[in-house]
Amino acid sequence: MSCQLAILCLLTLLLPPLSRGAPMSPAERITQAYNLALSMQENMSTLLQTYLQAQGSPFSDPGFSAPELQLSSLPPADISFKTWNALDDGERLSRVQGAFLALTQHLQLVGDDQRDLNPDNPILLAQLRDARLRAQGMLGNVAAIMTALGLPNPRAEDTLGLVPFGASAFERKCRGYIVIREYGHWTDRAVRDLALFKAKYPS
Amino acid sequence: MLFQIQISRMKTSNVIWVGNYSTVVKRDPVLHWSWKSELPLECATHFVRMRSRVDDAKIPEPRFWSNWSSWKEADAQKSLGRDPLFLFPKDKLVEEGSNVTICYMSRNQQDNISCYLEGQQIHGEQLDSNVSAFKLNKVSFIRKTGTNIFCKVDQKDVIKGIVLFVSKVLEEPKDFSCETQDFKTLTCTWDPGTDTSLPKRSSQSYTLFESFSGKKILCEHKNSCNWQVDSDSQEMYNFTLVAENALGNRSVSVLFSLTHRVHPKTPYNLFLKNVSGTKATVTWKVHPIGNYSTLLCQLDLLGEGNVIQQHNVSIKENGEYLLSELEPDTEYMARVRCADANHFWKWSGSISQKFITAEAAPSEALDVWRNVKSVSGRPTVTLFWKPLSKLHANGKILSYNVTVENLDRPSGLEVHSVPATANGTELTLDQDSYQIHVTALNSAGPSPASVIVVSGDPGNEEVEEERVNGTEDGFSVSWKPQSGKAIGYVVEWCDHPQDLPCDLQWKNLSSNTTSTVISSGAFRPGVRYNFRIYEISTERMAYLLEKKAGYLKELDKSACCQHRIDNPEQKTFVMENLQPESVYEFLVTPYTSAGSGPLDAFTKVTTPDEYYLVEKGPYTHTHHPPHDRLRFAHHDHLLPKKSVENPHLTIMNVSDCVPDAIEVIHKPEGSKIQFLGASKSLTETEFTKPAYLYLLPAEKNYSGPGPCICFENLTYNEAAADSGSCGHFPVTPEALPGQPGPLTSPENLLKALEKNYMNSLGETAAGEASLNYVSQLASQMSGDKDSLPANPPEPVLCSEYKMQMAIPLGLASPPPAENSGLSSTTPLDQSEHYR
Repeated sequence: MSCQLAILCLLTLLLPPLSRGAPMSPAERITQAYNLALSMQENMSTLLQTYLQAQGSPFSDPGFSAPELQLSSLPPADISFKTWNALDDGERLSRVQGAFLALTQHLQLVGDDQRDLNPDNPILLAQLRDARLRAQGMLGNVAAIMTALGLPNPRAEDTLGLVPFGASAFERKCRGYIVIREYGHWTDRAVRDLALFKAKYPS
Repeated sequence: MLFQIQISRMKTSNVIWVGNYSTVVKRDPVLHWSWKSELPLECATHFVRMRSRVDDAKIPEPRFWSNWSSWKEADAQKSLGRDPLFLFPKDKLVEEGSNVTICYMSRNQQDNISCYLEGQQIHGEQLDSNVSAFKLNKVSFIRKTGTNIFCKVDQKDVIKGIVLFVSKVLEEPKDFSCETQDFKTLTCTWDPGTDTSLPKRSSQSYTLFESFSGKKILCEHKNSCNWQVDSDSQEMYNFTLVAENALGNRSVSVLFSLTHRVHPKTPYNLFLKNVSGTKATVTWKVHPIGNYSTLLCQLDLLGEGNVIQQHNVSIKENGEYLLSELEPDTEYMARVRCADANHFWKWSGSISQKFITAEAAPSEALDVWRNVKSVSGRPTVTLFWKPLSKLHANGKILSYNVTVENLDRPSGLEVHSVPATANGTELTLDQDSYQIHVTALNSAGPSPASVIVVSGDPGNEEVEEERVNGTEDGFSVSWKPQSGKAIGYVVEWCDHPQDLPCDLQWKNLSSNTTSTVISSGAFRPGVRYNFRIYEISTERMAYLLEKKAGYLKELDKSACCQHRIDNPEQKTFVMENLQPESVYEFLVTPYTSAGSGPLDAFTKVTTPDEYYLVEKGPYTHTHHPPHDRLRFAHHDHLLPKKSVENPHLTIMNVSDCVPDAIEVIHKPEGSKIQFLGASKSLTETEFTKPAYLYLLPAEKNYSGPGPCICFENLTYNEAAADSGSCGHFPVTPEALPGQPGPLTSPENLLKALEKNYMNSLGETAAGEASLNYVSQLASQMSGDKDSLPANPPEPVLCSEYKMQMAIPLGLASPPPAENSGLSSTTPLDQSEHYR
């Protein structure tokens, strides 16, 4: 019941209202996306801990961190301040949109992996599903901002390609870790980007 | 053909395995043979070669080997990518307890690599500069999601790992057996043991194979399988149950005859019919098994949870059994289970039904005893009986019937019905003899009658009392038969001789008995018990035979307070040094040169709380008992003016009056009082009369022995007068937990009272009679009631104080009179107290 309620609340946050009288202003859309990014930030730590605990050692070891593990199919969130600061609106939003498009697909993949590896861990599976829904929500919100600002909206792409299949269980555990870690990084970056937009397009 | 195969690792000269493979070679053959390497093939290049020779007995020796083939290389490393580190095997599934070899391969032999299993570093064997192998012996099951093994390259943050999926050991099915309930289906069951499932790998499956029919089914459940019995033709079955998972299988077999594996279904429709007081018919049904099978059913009869009867009944379909020897009005449970009569295999489930047998007339006559007393000159018979035990009552007793027949003057029967709640009744008769029948009735009828005969003629009551000593077991009472015609004896006593009612007890004894031990949990040391032995005549009349009295154990304090009064004319005695708020008991007995007379009943007296007596004195006390514990018997001139208009007994503020007599109301619960009567002595039923403590201050010119304290009985009868003598019997404080300890000496109390008393003495209106009137000026000859009205009150140095009182007629009851012409009695309905 509480799970269903959480999803309902999540959906109200994720989906732009469609049937209201006046269309939302860019500022309103930015604010909505910003709030979603903040809520994603709040849930990040729990998701990562739940995930690592379910994978066993070394993932579940205290202080586990493996920054060297990377996935080429995920765009890196790291960016120099100079470059980030120089991004124009379209580029900034396009990068966020591209990242969350990739994250949405990767979170789907991680969810599938964990359904195989941890079928008896419903909490983990539910948190992964919620993360994917939030990523999808962020994707929709950013697209709505781009539309509201009159920016071109790039077509969605299949970012996963041939990458995932045939991975071993340990590789899948690693992959899930990377995806969730990067999901956190991109959420942090989205908060910063949207804060910039909020300042630039005040209501 | 016979093939010899060699396998080398890393270099051809390093042969690690040689084996033979024999097979029949047909035309254009493609032969397959496999070899499983302990070391993952990815970690090292392997080489294989073979040679062959004819392996056919038809071809004579000598048979020569062919030349070895060239080495064939199997190099999985070439297909690997460019990663700096690889770990193998990936996702291997093994059974718990098996041995596993893992290996890593590094691209850079300068790398320092460390490997861990669930956080614990493991150490392996270096196969070459780039490859190390780890042999894990008897791997343990850690979790269903697998065991992580990972290696990392120091300083490079490279991490690689594998997951080893360790399955629980597949167990052989336990307790495998098959049975049928209807000859149509065989149900086989077993204990599957540990679940061996892992993520993405299902648990073990079970297959049932029957060798005689050659049939096989895949079982739907992990612990049971249903096998359809095709026809009656197959009697023997040989089942093999195979448990199988990805790593192997286990099997177990059972061979049996179908008719020896019949497990009937639980019987149904269990009913009780024709339930009487001692019998009941049980009926039930069973599901038929085949056409010719007979079932053996076990019928248990349970009472209070225990099996009290067990019967075996052979039936086809309908069961019936007549249960007998039941107790009336008793709850039972009938329980039935069945098994195959010819070849016992298992009992069916049980079906049970509770039932209660009907009531039957009580089976035993009541144990009845009687007491005869005189009320207004008419014999009054009090009947007592003991309730029937459940065993003999045979149902709920609805009432008792008492039938009275006059034996001297036939005048028909007088029938009294007594409610079931009573255990006695009272009859007022005349001097004739009466036969009394007492029966108990329940819904099924009356019990056998208990018959006693009473007569106005008391027979010989002048029986001398003898002492009897108590022992640990009770009182050993013996007697001498008198008439020789006794049909039995009755010993009568009171369990609580100091209480009212005194809890009359009796014990029936057979005619050939002349002694018995009377024991009771109620017996206490220091209490005098009286026993009366009656002979029951053939006419069922009781005649007093002997009287006994004694103590279970005499307490020391009873002996310490004996006072000898040498003057036979002395009728008063002053007791000194009594403790306030203490209970004393006293009796007076005459003595001659031959010794002292019989010990009669003690009279109990409680001295008052000092607080009330010395309220204005130096003895203050914070404890203030409630008013209803102490009541002042008023004397009109002592009353405050406002109370004179209503001179009846009242509860007063202690400061409003000057007490000269105190009645101590506090006494044991249930104590009751009797008044009237002219008996010379008191029986046990009067032992706890509330006594009055009269406190008379000595006048200044009083030359007597000191302050005069007399314990006065309530009535002007001889017994009361006798009891006015001052023997005293203090009761230990331990026996009276509700009593506070002594506060002061009696001398001080009296001094305190003296002043008030002297102020009011002269105002006494002599001759006034009222309820609870306490006269301070009673006659010195107060022991003689006849002289009371004639003698004007005169002040005396040491007056004896008497109570004059009117007693409601309905409450009047003669005291039991051991020395009167009638038997002692215990009234059933006594007033709590006079009003």
